[in-house]
Amino acid sequence: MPMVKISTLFYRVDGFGELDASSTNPEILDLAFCDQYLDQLLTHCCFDPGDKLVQTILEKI
Amino acid sequence: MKESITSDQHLVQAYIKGDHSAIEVLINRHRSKVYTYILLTIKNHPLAEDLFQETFIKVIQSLRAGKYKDNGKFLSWVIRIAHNLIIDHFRKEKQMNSISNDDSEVDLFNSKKLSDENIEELIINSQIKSEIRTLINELPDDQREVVLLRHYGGLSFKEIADQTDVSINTALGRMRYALINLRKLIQEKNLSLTVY
Repeated sequence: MPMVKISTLFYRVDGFGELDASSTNPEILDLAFCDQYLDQLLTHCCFDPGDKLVQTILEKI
Repeated sequence: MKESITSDQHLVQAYIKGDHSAIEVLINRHRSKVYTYILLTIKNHPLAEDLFQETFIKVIQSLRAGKYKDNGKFLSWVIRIAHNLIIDHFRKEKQMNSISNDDSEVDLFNSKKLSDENIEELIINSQIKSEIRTLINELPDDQREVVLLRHYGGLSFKEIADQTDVSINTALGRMRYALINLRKLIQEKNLSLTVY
């Protein structure tokens, strides 16, 4: 039986065979869709370090 | 220096030529993306602050030493430096045989100007931030790494492959799995990620 990373196995989606599909079919990934999806999902997930931290860096240089 | 109309490339050149205000503009322009990348990767607020400082100090040292090869992708370069510092940190931590379990919650109101939004909006947005952060944290490490490098660093898949020491096909495959997993997690958790 082939070895499968447990972490990946845990997240496997039904009907999606990791061993069949992983790196041999990269063209399946639609890059435009990928970037658009990440933009929509992560656009509001932005944390700011704050002015104080930036000033600390500037003082150090 | 006018931040909005000056490209990263020009700011880098200006700094190298002695305009010290240029680096402040560059840091302020990219600070949120760099900080978010670090924070979502290491999941530790105080450590993220330290690594954020280290990253930009290394950026500045590299610029001064003439080590930056300008290809028009300053942010990607900064993210790669942050990535390497994070790896160094975990290597050192492993050597010291100490495991960081400080997954302290980020101050979701961090540096937000309360006057800019009403409290209800702020809470909703903070909840969304928290939910998205949870989603990202649930991805396997290799998939999360690709997602963060791509979104926050704007790295190409070739650059991601080089940075993570895998083939391009593997990087693409990891992204593909990451998207599938994110969608699945959103469905499972019945999350509504709409910002009002």
